[in-house]
Amino acid sequence: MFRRTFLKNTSIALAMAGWPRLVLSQDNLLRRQIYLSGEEIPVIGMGTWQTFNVGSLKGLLKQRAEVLAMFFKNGGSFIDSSPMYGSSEEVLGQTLEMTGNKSKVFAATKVWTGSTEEGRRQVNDSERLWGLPMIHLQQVHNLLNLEEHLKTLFKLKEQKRIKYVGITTSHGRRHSDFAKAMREYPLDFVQFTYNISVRDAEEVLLPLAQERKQAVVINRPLGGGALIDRVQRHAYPEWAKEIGCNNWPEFLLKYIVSHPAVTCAIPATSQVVHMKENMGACRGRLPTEEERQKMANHVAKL
Amino acid sequence: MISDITTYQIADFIPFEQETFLFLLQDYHEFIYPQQFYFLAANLLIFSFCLKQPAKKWPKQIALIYLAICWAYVGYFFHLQYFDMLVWAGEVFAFLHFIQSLVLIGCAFTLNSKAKFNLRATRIWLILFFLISFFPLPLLYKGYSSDIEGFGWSWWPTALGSLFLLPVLVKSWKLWVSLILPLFSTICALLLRIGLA
Repeated sequence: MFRRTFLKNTSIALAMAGWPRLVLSQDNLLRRQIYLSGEEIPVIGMGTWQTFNVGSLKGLLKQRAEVLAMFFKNGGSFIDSSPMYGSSEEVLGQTLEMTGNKSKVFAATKVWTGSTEEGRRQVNDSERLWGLPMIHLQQVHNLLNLEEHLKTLFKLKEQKRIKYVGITTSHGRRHSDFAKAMREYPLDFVQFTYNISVRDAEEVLLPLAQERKQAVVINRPLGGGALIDRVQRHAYPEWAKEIGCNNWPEFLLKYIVSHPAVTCAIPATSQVVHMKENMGACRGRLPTEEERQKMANHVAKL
Repeated sequence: MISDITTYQIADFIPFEQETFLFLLQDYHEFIYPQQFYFLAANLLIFSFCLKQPAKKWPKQIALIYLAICWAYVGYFFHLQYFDMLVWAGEVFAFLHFIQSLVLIGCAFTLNSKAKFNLRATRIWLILFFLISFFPLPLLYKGYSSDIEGFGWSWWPTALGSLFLLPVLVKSWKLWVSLILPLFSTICALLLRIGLA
């Protein structure tokens, strides 16, 4: 009860300060509100880079459906993919059908091509492949042909074929161009890389997103697997359990989503057990600023 | 732009996991079974022809046509039917395999009958080819291991085998033309393995 009251008060204070409101819902799931609509999404979503590109290999399709089922069982909804991820969108469509969770999905995908016409085709293909009545978020990936694709996407938003428009980058690439686009366009979402080892985004992108009231999706939260592999070679710090982080994935993910400008992080996995661990970061309390600093210092020493 | 490029690693260009690729190879091998054994038999037969008649034209022509069949087979059954599931480059690789197949057929029909071959060098190369062709044989007994890749039915050993075999089958500029795609294919295979490691 105390925790809920604390979170409620904190989230009101944050909302007044301009940060996206943190919400603890009835199911004890940590969610953040999207500025534009007030719609709430859990702070942990799911990425699909590499992990969901399994073509029509039946054994793997079934296994990915189990991963997806675990994601939804733990309250997940935000799923991010891209036409550049091979068969991932098609696999998502099939596994969503297999798990019967289409109504729970917040679908995010990307446009990534130099051609405007091809961009429109990618948007249509995504709708068909996911098998959903609507793709919620369409993002221009890596700022490629940004101006033209944004024209297309804003038009689609007007037509209510999509709900939100965003842009993405990763690996810390082109942050100055990215910030310029964040200032120039009325974007609903931005997506970039941020984790406990790669914190460049703290300087410009995260404060800018807050200033521009743009929802923030964090990719590569576990450093593409390299970060989690690195920390898991070391003993888990006991003090971290006292701040609500029960294992390394929770530790790394809660560090990210406790940044007040972050709306959600999207770790990718092909393992059911890892999905369960990742979704653990949606529950319990989030570290304070002081605790975040302690966490960053601890990982820097490993 | 330069600093942007330095942020990329080989793994960034591979849109699937190692486990998926190994599963794909396994599925492919199950699909084409028992053709692996036919290829092994063909390898043995051609090896014996070339070893017995290293100076004659016809064993080399047969070997080149056989190589052309291998490239077309891998292009169609592996790249187009399987690898293309995971990455658009599957179609490109299939196309390049068909091109290589045509190049090899061209080489077979324009082979110079008066070409002199060094018997000792030819035998050494043929033995290497033999080893590449047969190295997966013991693995077959383990069942359908994802490591089963052999010359004639799978990707990089076909390219690698061609790199060994072509220098004893083809001479002059045609040799260099026929080596371009095997070399490219071998480099791609090695990069894939490094990226997935």
